[in-house]
Amino acid sequence: MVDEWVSQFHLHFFSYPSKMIRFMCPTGLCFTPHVNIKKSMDLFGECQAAHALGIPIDLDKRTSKLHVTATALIRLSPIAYFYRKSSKDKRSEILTDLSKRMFGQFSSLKIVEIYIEMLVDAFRGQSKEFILQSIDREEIRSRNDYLSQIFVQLIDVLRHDENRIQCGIDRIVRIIEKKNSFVEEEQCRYLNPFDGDSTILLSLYLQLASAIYNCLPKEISSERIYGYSMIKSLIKWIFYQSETNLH
Amino acid sequence: MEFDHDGLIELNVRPDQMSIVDPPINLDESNEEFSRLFNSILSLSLTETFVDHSNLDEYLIEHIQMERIYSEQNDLKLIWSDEICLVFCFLASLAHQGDYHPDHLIQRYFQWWMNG
Repeated sequence: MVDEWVSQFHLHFFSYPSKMIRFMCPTGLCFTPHVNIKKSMDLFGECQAAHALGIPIDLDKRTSKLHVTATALIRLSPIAYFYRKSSKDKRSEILTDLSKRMFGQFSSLKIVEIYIEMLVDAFRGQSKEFILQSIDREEIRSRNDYLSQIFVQLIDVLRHDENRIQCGIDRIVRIIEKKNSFVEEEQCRYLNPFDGDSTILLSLYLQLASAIYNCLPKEISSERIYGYSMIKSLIKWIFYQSETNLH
Repeated sequence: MEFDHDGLIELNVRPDQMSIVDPPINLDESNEEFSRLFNSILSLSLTETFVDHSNLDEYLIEHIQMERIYSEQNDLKLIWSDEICLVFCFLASLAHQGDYHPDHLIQRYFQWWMNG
């Protein structure tokens, strides 16, 4: 009976990811990804291919036209979820490696590192005050690229959200709406209208504040969230894998 | 990268219709750490629900309708932004591999890009 259970488990375990492969974005079929994402994917793919073939790549040349947006913070955040129990060095190592492959030379890497450590602290149950205090303000103030600006805004909202997640959300939505009323660029007509860039501040805040306050924004009834069971299962797997594969 | 096109053309399984297989561990919201991780990701996926999209252009709605009809998939929904999808790709790769494997990750990203 033990053998049966073990083989069933292995069957599910190995077929599960192949099912997951085919879903990712519900309208990925419908809309074309933003050009920054495309470029980043291209770079990543090239790095992997070159790596497999043993060819060195000149990253500077490749990435001179790559514009790193603040969405890098979100894209790299899974490192915090999975490696929250590992050492900080381990996280840094992976972060540096992956960001190099996807973004080439990345000057704001330090900010991403800080953000990931904040998430990890939040998962450990540290208080907001502790997390805010541990940020090196000098380091951040000296930068003025877009990613750092978003980060500074994020910290500001977090600090003044009266410990209520809804308060922070309201404030950010007002900021976004004000910003959107000024933007009139011509965009490709077939981009996903849910633009990660314009809502980045909100995404970051939601991700971080939910972890710190350990709650969801109140208005939403949890079972009705899209993909609720799938996400729950995914997080369980993340939890399980990270516990059993400690480095 | 070579793709097995026959495999890709199969009916895609949407996130809200996937059959769930849990790992061999007992976990629910009472585990505080799990709860934090879970709430964090759930909230992230809700980003777009807070932003006012009532002024979506007509052509976008039509575009989605057409896509639904032509690919015969009536359950296409517009819920997540691209970056959030990439987050899920990364998480899925980590969950599958038990570790960071850039090769596996790039495959996931490509499959998202090609396939939704």
